[in-house]
Amino acid sequence: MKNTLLFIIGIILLVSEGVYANATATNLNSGQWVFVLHILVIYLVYITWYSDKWISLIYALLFGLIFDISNAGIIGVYAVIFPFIVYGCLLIKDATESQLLLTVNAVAIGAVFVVEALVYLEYSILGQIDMALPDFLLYRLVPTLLFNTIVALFCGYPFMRLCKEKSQFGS
Amino acid sequence: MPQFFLNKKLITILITIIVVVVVVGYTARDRLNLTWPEKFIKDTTNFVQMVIDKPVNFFTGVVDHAGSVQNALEENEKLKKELDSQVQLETQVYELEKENEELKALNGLENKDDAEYIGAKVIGRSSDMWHEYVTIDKGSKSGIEANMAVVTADGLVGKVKTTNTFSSTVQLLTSLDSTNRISAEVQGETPVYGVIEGYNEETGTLQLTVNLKADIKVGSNVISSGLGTVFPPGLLIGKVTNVELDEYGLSKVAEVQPYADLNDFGYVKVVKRTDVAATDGEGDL
Repeated sequence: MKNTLLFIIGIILLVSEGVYANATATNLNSGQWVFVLHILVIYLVYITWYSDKWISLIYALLFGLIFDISNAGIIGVYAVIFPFIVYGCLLIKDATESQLLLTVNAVAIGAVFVVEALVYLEYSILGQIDMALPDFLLYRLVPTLLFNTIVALFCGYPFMRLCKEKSQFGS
Repeated sequence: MPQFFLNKKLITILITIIVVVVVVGYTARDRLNLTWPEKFIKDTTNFVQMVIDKPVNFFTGVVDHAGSVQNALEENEKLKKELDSQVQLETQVYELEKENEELKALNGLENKDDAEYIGAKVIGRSSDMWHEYVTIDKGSKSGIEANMAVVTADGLVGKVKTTNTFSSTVQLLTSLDSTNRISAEVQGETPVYGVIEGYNEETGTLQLTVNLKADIKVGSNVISSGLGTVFPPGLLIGKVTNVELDEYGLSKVAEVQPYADLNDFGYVKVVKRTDVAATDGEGDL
């Protein structure tokens, strides 16, 4: 199945977020500002845009589950938010019918924003984190969004090619 | 039957929400043992992580070292001076150790090490950067168990949270957790015992609660006391930077600056306590 490659690359991207977190702990992310890599979310948006509806929903659930298990061990945080993101993207995709890379990138940044905000909310309710809202907005959300904008600009084109060529349902 | 129960979509959504809440509630607890699918997935992702981490680690190493070459000469001089005093210290330690052994033999005490160490490499961090978790490349196969102490060359950095077969998750000292307690000892003329109960993010220090009458000097070393069952005695934690009364005036709170840099370490040692048999549950922490 051609879709297996999409899945394997998703897993590699998922793992690379952890490697990134480890590699930047001493330099980029040692201070107050936090730049979180959300390349998997960007990837999911691209799969949604250039691949099949059900494939993207199932992949979102699978990636979410694996992310939850390998990240903090609390199952049901990303496993819910990722499919939710994909669902939202599907609605926007149907509404705009745009194939412009810029549109997809904008949606991806929006998705990163929603993921960060929802995770902050959910972890706060669960008592896992203790961070004031202004701190979160200034030191975490803004740098993360800027950082992922750059990542999306670089990764957008390869992701699009990959999704179009490797997906069985691509146009 | 009311209309409500016939709406399939609504029922599905409701059931999903209930299932999610139950699963989140169950998994958010402090679990010592993971289920086997979780262990399998963690081991698999950690294996991929190890493969990717190698070249990335090499690259960041090269970049970091390029920056530090400038300071190498200066550092070399300083280290040479330190080395001289090291020899003196070493002979002193040797003599003390010998004396200790003799005294122990005199008193008929059994002489054995308090702990054994398992070396491990750091292969990743919690990727959403909310949790202070670190992944290491040794697991239950190498004898690692939950709640064991994790140290670097500088001092204590955390404890093992959960283990998989070939990898484990380490919770750092800085993470927010009500069960993250360490029984500690402040070294001085008369040792003071207390419990490390939390981490102050603003000052970057650990909060050590001690008796109101305790006399603590700023700058004294804090080590693990070994009074709990999990952490062996004598692990270096940090030094006292400030002492003040707690909010109710009933005890003193000492701020302890950890010796280990909690952001910058690539290798750790997991400490297995051997002098006490009991390691069940949440002893020390």
